[in-house]
Amino acid sequence: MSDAAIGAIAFVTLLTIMVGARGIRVARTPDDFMVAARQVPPALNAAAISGEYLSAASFLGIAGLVVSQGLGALWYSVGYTAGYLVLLLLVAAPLRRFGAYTIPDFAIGRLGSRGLRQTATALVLVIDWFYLLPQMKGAGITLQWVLGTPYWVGAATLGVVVSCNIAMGGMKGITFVQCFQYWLKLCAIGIPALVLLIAVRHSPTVNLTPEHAPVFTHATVVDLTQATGFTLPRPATATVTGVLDQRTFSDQGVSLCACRHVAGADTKIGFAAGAPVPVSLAMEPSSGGSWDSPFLTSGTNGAHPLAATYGVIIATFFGAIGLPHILVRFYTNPDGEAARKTTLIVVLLLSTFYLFPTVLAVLTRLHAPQLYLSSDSDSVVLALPSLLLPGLPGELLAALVAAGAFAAFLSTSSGLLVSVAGALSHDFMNRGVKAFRWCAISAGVVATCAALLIGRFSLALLVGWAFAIAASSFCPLMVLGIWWRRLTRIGATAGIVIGGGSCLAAIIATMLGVAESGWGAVLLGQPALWTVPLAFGVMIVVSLLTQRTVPANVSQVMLRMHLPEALSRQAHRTIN
Amino acid sequence: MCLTLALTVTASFPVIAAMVPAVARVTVAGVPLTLIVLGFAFYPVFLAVGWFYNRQARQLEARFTDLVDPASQRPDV
Repeated sequence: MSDAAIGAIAFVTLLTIMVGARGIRVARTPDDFMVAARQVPPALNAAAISGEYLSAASFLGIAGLVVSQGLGALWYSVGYTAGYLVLLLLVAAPLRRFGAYTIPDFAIGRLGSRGLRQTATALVLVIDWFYLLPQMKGAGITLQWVLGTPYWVGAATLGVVVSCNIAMGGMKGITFVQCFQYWLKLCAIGIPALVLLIAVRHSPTVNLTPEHAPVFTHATVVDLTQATGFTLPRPATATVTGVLDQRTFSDQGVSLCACRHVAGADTKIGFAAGAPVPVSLAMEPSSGGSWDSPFLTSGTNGAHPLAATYGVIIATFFGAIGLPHILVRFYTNPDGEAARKTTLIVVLLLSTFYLFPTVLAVLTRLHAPQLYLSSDSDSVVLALPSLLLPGLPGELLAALVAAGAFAAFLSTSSGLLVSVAGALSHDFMNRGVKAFRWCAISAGVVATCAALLIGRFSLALLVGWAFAIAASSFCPLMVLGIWWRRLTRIGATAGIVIGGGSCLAAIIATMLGVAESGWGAVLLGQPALWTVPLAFGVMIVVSLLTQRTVPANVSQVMLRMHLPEALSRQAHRTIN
Repeated sequence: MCLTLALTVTASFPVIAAMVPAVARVTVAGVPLTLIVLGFAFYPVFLAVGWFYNRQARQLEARFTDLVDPASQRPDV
């Protein structure tokens, strides 16, 4: 790709390191490193949370999934936002008032069990890993697309930059970085979306209407870099250069039937305006449902779309509560009231951001349907600007998008590494700044290596699975821990292990391809559907059976979580 | 209450669309209803519910603080 894109990515990376380096002077004690000394105002904190949250899945994955699978994929963006509303309503203020660094800290503070603490730490690592891998994949495909480097170069670059940055600045640096990254990401997706919306001549919305198979709005040459199978919804003539259906052409007119075709690598097929858009066999929504269906088919091969949709709704709505790298940010609020304010601003910032992937996906559907034939739907957002706006403007927009995408991987994986390194150094090693630094670096190395194995899964799907695990393990722990006095440590441990464990098992089964169709595919591909109720159920039932082990200080802990600060300060003064 | 409201509003859309397939086929000025609802309409609802909840929570906590300790300082209310 262009030099502009290379320059933009280098600029973002350098800027990230520099803004992060500012934190070194501020960060002095382990406490500074871990939660930025709890002195971050709501607006800054909200931008930092959003910057950390908007990952590769949001920036590239959702638009790609909407293009390839249809409007139902928008449930991901709705769910990612709604997750914060649920978090606001159920945990934001009490969690801050409780005052602990991490979810394992919450577990030990609320229920006083070392065993539970270690289980929780192990699960933090599982969730963070699941979330970290798609970021590495995103970096891999972005650099692949921009520079033509092999997949591993992008993943390795990201790993090195992030590990060093965190080892140097800790979380204070990261708060500034994340805040800056949110605004960068918003610009990098918002400006191209708006410019393209204005620049592209408004053609009729013909490609959006339900009964209509998409057509090319102007004469288009589809450049297939690798062998691709596709079908045509109706017969058409095309100019072909290369191999099609095992015959070699050089710039010849061919009439194609409405049936399956196979094009060889490096084949160019020119379609006239009004010709039907070929549907890639790899990307055809396998449900047979149309593009505008409000249901979701990803990860389940199109079986039982309504159930799959609810699977994603449950996972994303309740998953945000259980994401360790997000929860750690709530301790940086000065008090419970500020935590609520922060969360509401986060909902606003996310809502604004998620308008734009939708716009880009719809523009792709309308004006660049040839991207349906590209091999990987996750690169749609990167490819769109230069397709719709030829010349320098398009190139600059493409550079901006690439920079924003890289910002997305940088910020999310920074947050995840802080969380992984925090959990490792806090719970498994002697605490302290030095241990934290070493954990950050080694965790980065391991993640980079693992990222090389997951190339074939879509970004949104991978991140959706991280949400599913969080929703079926930490979400019940947080919600019941905050609102239910009778929770016991045995109940909590059982719920986390059975809920999180069965969810993880289902995801691994899907990855190995155990069930390809029917209810099996839905229940394994969207496990949140049954593992979230299961986790809540187990936690409640086992707690009720072990009521003798309810912690003795439960009233005191509950009071600390739910008492407004004005009163707890008062109480504190009275006691002293 | 806020939670129930928000969840009902959001989670009912797939059920409605499944029971009345015509809903998913509605277009407004050429744009599918699904796109409008999923792409744009939910976000203002989330914001409104969140804002309302924050206001309620703040007022409730202020009233509670007054009730327990009328002399307490409440600089932020």
